[in-house]
Amino acid sequence: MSTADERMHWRPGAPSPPLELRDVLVMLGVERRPEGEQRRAVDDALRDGALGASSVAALHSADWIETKRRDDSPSPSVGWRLRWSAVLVAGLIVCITAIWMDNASAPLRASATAVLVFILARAGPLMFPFALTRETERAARRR
Amino acid sequence: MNPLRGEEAAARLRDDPGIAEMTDVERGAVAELASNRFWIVQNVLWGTDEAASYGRVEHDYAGRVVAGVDGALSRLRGPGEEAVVYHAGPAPPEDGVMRGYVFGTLDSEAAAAVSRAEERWEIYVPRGQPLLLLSEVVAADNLTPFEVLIPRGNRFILMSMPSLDSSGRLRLEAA
Repeated sequence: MSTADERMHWRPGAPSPPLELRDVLVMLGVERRPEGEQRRAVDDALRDGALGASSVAALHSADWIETKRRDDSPSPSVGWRLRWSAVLVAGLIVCITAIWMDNASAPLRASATAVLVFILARAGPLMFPFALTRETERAARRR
Repeated sequence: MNPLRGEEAAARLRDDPGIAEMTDVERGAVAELASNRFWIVQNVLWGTDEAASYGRVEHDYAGRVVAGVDGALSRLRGPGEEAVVYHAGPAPPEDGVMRGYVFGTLDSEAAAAVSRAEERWEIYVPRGQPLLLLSEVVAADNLTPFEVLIPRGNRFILMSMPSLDSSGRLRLEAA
């Protein structure tokens, strides 16, 4: 149906056509403004929750709503490795200190030694991701 | 009673001095109501479930359009005599109140071309009630021939609606 026919036949409950990006810009009053100003108006409206579902869908269709990117922080795997590396280094320092303390008891030295061995055996690759990668590559070449 | 019809009614509406008095904002609002966004305004006026999902932007937009269109229509003097407008669509609500704008045409053949017989209304617009011939304000390429807009807040008599009872008469109010 043409728009003229739709105007005549429209009744409450009639299915509404999908909105387009231009419709949203017209409703915001920025359809003739530069794109930068248009995007700012859209961002402001989205932030305020001032747009209905149809308008938001139109913006998605036009790729005007981007998924938030974590540009200002490391990727989860690198950040996780750094945190655990810091914890493990701290643990190593504590264990070594406990082992080499002059007045440390034998049980304490034994426990610290066991923890130190555990850390080095299980957590070494986490502390040295690039070394692991190189080692893996060497192993693959040897095969 | 010899109401104005078709081309004769259109000629009277073209001569309405109120058209020249309309501001650019009012003309722009009428153009918006005739655009493919008209249903946003109608949903808000009728208070539909869909309108309940609109945000502040949609409601503000509808408010601006309604204010502009009402301002434009308030300038019109009207055709000076009773006029017949043809409309197509389902029967009016049970309470007889059309809460949004009512679009029609002065041309019975144009109405017939877009409707089934049981959906064709023949509306008598009383003397003194303004009518806007849309082609005098917006580009005609998106309009039904002799398409008109009946203002809000006006009362008209529905003289013919075959799908209604045998009298076919219903007093409606465009609210």
